[in-house]
Amino acid sequence: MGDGSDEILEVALKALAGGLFVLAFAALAEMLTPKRLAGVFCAAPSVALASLIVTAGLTGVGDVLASARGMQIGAAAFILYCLIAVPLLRRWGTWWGALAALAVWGAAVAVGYALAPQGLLALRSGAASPPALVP
Amino acid sequence: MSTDGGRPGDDQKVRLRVGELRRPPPRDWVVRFAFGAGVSALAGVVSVSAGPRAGGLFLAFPAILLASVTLIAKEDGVRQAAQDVGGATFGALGLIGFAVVVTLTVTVWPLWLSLVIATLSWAVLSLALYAAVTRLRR
Repeated sequence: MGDGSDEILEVALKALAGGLFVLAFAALAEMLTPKRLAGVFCAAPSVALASLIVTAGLTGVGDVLASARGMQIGAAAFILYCLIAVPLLRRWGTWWGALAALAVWGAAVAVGYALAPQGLLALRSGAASPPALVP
Repeated sequence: MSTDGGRPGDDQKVRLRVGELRRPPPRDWVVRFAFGAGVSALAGVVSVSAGPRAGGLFLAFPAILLASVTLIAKEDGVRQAAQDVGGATFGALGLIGFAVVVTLTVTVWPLWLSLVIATLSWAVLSLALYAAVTRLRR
């Protein structure tokens, strides 16, 4: 179309699907005990599933593959977030601790994207190339 | 049954209690939906404007954990919230497995099969690590 309505539709569908998938995983987490196990579901692939399904339907499997490569870096940064969030929460309280950890996630993602734009698997094969800003 | 400072049923046995769904107030569900929709929209906007690989970074954005941690900290304290973050570490490790499985299979298998196997990989990896660490701590 070229008037931006396709993009708006894509974002709106991803938002709706993402919200619903997150609710589904949150319900599962709420029902589960012990609560430490329920914490596992805070890092469930809910947003990823919703987004990848919509992406496949609208733009094809090639974009799903590219998204999954980006997700590898985001997930590695997520682990760093979890490891650093606990001491930060205890030291600075909920909001400041969580926000500081989020800043660490952002920095880790930026560094990871610069170093391994093709994802973590490319590091192994040495096939990393400069990040592409367009699909 | 419950540990000091823990929530009811916070022992080591894995249980699924449907009644727990009534525990959080409706506002909490709205917040979770809003966070999920917001992160998905953010990933969508980045994907549209900077490409799917950049958008993919936000498929592992810790916003849901952030929402959960702030809600739990308000209701049960920072200690309990930190415990949830500890559990999320296993889930985050599983997320790498999810993304790797999709990367390796999505162009070879049907999409639904790739996503189902990736989700199962996330669950098995996360819960196996959780079980292993819990056993080591005993």
